[in-house]
Amino acid sequence: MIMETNSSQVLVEANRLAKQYPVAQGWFKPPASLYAVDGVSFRLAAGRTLAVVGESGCGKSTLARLVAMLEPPSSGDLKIDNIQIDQASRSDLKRIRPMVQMVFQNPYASLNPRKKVAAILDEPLAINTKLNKFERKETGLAMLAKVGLQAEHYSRYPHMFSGGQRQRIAIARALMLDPKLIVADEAVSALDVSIQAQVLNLFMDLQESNGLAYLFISHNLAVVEHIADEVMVMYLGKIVEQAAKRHVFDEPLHPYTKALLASMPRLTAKFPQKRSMLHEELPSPLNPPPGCPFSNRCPHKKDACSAAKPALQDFQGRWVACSRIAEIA
Amino acid sequence: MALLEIENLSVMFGSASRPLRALDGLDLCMEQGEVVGIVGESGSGKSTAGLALMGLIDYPGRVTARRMSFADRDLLMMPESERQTLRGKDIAMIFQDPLASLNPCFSIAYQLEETLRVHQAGTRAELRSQTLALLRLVEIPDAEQRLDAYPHQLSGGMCQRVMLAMAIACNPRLLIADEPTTALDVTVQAQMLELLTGLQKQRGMALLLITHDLGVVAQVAHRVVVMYAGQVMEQGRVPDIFDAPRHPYTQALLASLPEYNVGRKRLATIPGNVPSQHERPQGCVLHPRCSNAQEICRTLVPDPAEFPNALVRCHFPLDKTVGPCKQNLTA
Repeated sequence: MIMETNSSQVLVEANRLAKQYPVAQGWFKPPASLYAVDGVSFRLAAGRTLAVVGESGCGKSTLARLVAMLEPPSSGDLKIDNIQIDQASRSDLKRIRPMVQMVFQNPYASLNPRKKVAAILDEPLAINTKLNKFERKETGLAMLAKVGLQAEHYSRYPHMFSGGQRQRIAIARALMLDPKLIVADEAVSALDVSIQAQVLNLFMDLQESNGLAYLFISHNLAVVEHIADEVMVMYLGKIVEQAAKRHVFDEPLHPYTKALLASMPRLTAKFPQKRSMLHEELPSPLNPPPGCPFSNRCPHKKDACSAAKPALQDFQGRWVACSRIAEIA
Repeated sequence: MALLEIENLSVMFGSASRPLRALDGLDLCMEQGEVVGIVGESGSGKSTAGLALMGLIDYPGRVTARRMSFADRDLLMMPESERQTLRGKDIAMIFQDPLASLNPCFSIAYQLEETLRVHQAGTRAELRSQTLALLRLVEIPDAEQRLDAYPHQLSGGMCQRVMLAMAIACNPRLLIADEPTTALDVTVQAQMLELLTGLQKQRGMALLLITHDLGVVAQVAHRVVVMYAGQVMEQGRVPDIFDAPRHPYTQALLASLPEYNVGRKRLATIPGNVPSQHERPQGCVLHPRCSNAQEICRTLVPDPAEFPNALVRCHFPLDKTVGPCKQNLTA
């Protein structure tokens, strides 16, 4: 539904993707259902970066897991490389799975401490390709060089590296099968500022050299502003605004996007500045407010907002889910 | 007279023959009602500094200082019992992870009352009404109902507010906040910072804000201390340091932020990694990563040099006219 991307180069197409989890309420009550992701649609073209932002609990990580095919969606459909995932044959899936790789938040937890870098990089190749041992080692060494590590690092264990180096190993592992899409779930959040800049540069270099697409999930708006082409703002499992990066950062439309940007600590402005602050906290996703999910925190709330869920609509060439957008924009 | 005066504060761990200096020669002076930010990457000793001020460094850690006084009382020579009466009353602290610092087995009312019980007398009813007033002060909605809640029933932001209520319960003169908003979402972080600065102004507390987030410091603090590998690299007033840093590390740190690289594809980076405690280099701790390093930096540790309103530990401090954007660091 979004943006006029040429369909031939569309890599991922999600249509009304939803994931619902049952949540136990006690022994005798039926389980409640929690919509972690609810009706999310987007298209991502090869070589582009789509950033997903939102507070914790907004469903951004669940979306990442859906796109990485780690979990099946409850409803809606996902097309990767023009193949419908839920109807794909085994051979198609075997072809598609290596195309999508994931980089996780915490490099201290995402690398097996009992495996050497050699084994970590070797495993995807041993399972998915017919390369022999020597070819695999050669590929692994070449990949280490590509992510800025030395050949001597090949036979070391993860604990011998610093956080930034570990994240490079995690990226190298994701790149071993020459993927087309990297799902980066808060991939730079655990890193120090100076290391974060190194890893972001690596991400951008790899995009240029390999034509990678990124689904870049982050809560750090400054990082998103730097790396993204397009931004999707999520709130309680739904998209509230989706547009090109410049639009979102220069002229946010949805009240939630505005609040999110205003909350971002700036290096220039002095603190008690005039800001559209949100006074409440995120409501429980088990018990969202009726109608618009943002209505309990929204400064522009009217009674009509609690009546119906606003649909994502086209407003001045951007997608916004707010029933009063024409009045407040 | 300054509220807090620290000269050459060091914290060492490890054996006497091979000490690990977590904090190496911190000089800090804080006035009543001043907000000072300590920033640094992980392992720079910023949290250790907070713990040393609170007197929470236990054996085998060793705290030494030329001078460490709070309101003209010597913290180092003070007997532990006297320190205990200061701690939580005149000097209070809040920690990063609110859910880990609250006791899950007791209600928040009980935990808040505990602080009051230790430091002042009062009947149970008085304590309870004081507790309620504190919860209202930190803007917890439906405070009466939340009194008997347990930490797991509250969100992260609410728990951090409870921590803050606990810290300000006895009207401290110095509040140490160690990464108070790191575990929170940006919208909740903004609320928390506003609350923190509001209370600080209203009560005239001194606030020592320890964080890795330069944006938070830029917005909240009056002065900032930039730390690296246990040493203070630079300290000075916030606008000066953010507009025209004098230390190459501060400049490189600012230059690596996405905010300073708007419109540029590649971010400026600091090559290499933060050295671990075992592998601190000889001479200036920054020299392996510094693009301005000369022969003298490899051998001699620079002493902090005084500038107007600033203290810089570098052999070759930068010219004031060089802003963080016009830097010449290696990419």
